Amino acid sequence: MIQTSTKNEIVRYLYQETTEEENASIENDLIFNEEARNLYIELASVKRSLNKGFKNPGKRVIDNILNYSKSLNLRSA
Amino acid sequence: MKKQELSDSVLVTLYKNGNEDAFAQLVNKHSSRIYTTIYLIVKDTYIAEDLLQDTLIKVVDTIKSGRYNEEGKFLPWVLRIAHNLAIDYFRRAKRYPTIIMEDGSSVFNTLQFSEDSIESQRIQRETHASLREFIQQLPEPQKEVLLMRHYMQMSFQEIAEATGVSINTALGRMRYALINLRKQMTKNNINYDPNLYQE
Repeated sequence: MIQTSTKNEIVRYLYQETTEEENASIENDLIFNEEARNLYIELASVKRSLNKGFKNPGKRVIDNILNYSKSLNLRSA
Repeated sequence: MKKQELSDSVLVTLYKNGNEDAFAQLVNKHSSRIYTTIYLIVKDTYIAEDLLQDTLIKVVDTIKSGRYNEEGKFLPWVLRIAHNLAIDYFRRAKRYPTIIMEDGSSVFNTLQFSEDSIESQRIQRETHASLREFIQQLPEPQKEVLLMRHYMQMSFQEIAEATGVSINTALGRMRYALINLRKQMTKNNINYDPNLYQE
């Protein structure tokens, strides 16, 4: 069973907050420790899903803000 | 060949010098992340859009008045503004219901519930929307860390300081948030096939 500290390192590694030294150690764990590897795969798959799940605002809102920005140029011209 | 994107720092500098196209690029690049961050807090599409607009107006005003000095940290700055506006709105809305029903409950709460039901019915048809719903169902400490790390791109150290816990507690909450989301996705047959998702 992997330690909590290792599990937390995997989360830091997933979010690229580890040093190069730490990466070498973690990647060694991922190669030789099946439990660590399975945890990483599970967390990484959810992270990928989260990255695909952003909600888009309506075009009206974007157009409003772009027009607002341009209007400030006209006022100061 | 993929066109090399200009960095946020370069785009902000161009925008400061009057290049509106640079600002449009910044908006197109980041609006979904900013909007989703707000939406996860206020849980209402239209309110989230209004707050997104308020956020970006503040951004425009700050940059155009020469007060921007975030030095290469454009997105974290914008997300802080968005987060603060969303939290302020959420607290005000909970504290000051506009109409009180005969039984003493807030019609705002009722409307919110109704809107959520209609929203829930709509978003259940969308995989991405289902995932956002699972996020809302997370225990609050886990949802908070997830929001701050994944959407607002704060470091785990910053999250620990902001929430008053140790970094290991923040990391543990994040780990459980991701594991719980995975359980929900598996339980509800949310497919991981990347071909289902558009780039």
